[in-house]
Amino acid sequence: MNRLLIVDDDPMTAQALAATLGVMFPTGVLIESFTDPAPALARMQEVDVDVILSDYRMPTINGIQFLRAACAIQPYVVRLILSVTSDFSVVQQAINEAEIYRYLFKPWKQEDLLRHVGDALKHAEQARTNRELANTMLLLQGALTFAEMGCLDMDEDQASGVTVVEWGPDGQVLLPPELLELNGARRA
Amino acid sequence: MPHDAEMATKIEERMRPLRALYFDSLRQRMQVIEHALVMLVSHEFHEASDQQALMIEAHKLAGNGATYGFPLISDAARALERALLIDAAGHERLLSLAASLLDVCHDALAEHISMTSQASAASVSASAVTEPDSHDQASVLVADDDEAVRALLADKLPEVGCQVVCAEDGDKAWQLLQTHSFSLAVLDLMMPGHDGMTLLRMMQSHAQVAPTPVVFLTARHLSSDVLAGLNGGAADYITKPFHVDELVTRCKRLLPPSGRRSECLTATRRRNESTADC
Repeated sequence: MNRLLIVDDDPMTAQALAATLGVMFPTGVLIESFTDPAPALARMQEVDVDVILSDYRMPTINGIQFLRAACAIQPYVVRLILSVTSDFSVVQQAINEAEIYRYLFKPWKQEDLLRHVGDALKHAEQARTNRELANTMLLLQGALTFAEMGCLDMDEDQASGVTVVEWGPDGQVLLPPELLELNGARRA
Repeated sequence: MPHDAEMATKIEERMRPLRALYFDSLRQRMQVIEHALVMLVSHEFHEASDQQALMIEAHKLAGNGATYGFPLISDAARALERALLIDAAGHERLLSLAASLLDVCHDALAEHISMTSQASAASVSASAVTEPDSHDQASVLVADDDEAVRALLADKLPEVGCQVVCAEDGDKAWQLLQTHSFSLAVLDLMMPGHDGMTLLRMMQSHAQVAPTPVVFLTARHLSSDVLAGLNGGAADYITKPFHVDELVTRCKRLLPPSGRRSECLTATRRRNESTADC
């Protein structure tokens, strides 16, 4: 299940986007909308997010500042800006500083929104698969321990955001009981 | 999933309940723009606070107008935002762009109200429309949120044989227009609820009240405002502060001659009924 966050300080736009994208992606995508960037960032501390669609001009912080903060919490989140603002300097700043995936303009065309958000969701999924493959490679090469791999493989809803690792006296990773059971089951 | 007609229809269905909320927010944004217009007209427009407030409203309207089916709002709002942000436009240009934006918002609101009130207006039976107490006495609606103006006109207009009914806001005025027959409506341009221009457009789209002449009574005194009002269909345009005797004389000019009022009302009603029959 992918998770898409909409952040726009205009409630009418946020609701219209949630309604529109809900129809466009009726299955497989959880959509959450926010009219304030702060609760959206708090939410990102709780759950994994695949794609963020953010407004640019907001009263507290702008879209670029918000996406940079979001990136600090979850570096792999795919970031899009949807804004009325068409200044070249803003678009350039968005690309260079927030490393956005797409910059979309309001008012949007439904087919464009469908295509770009669809691309972003695919991109997030592909990037996740690539990371998993890379971790498997590291594991095979011995650069990653099975325990570390296990922590990375933990269910996203349980271990989203920050993963807490307990270290033993000799520097070894102490696995939680449920992972030890899982590890045993895998070996068996 | 490809974008097709079925998807567009489903999106439209999901958007429908949001439209009522959109018009609520549009009304609030229009009040901010109206305030900015008053400040601009009175040369009290503060570049810091008023300009910032106007810019925020323009930005939001530019973003969501087309989404809710009003691309003209988006276009007008974008032009105003650009003038505020980039062009450092002068006073007259800002005034013109803000007035244009307000104008398209009025159109959208009038269209929405007209559509939603059609059903309820249709349910108003002919018996619910009450005539003035005397058929020979003209009835004038005065809609203004300024109590002093209402009191003054309620005192003065009867001197020329008028019965005066007052409304303190646009919503009440619209209710009265739908349930009473008036020979004339004196409307404030800027008042809570439906403003004068919106009311005029709503009246024009309802055959029953369309023939009632409208006089705008407003603090907006620029020639562009006067032209917009008169071109919009107002019979007269009077700026505040006003001389009450002049206002009464102008109103009297628009009223049907005494003794013919009942005939006029009956003729108007007959004409409307025959139009409806067609």
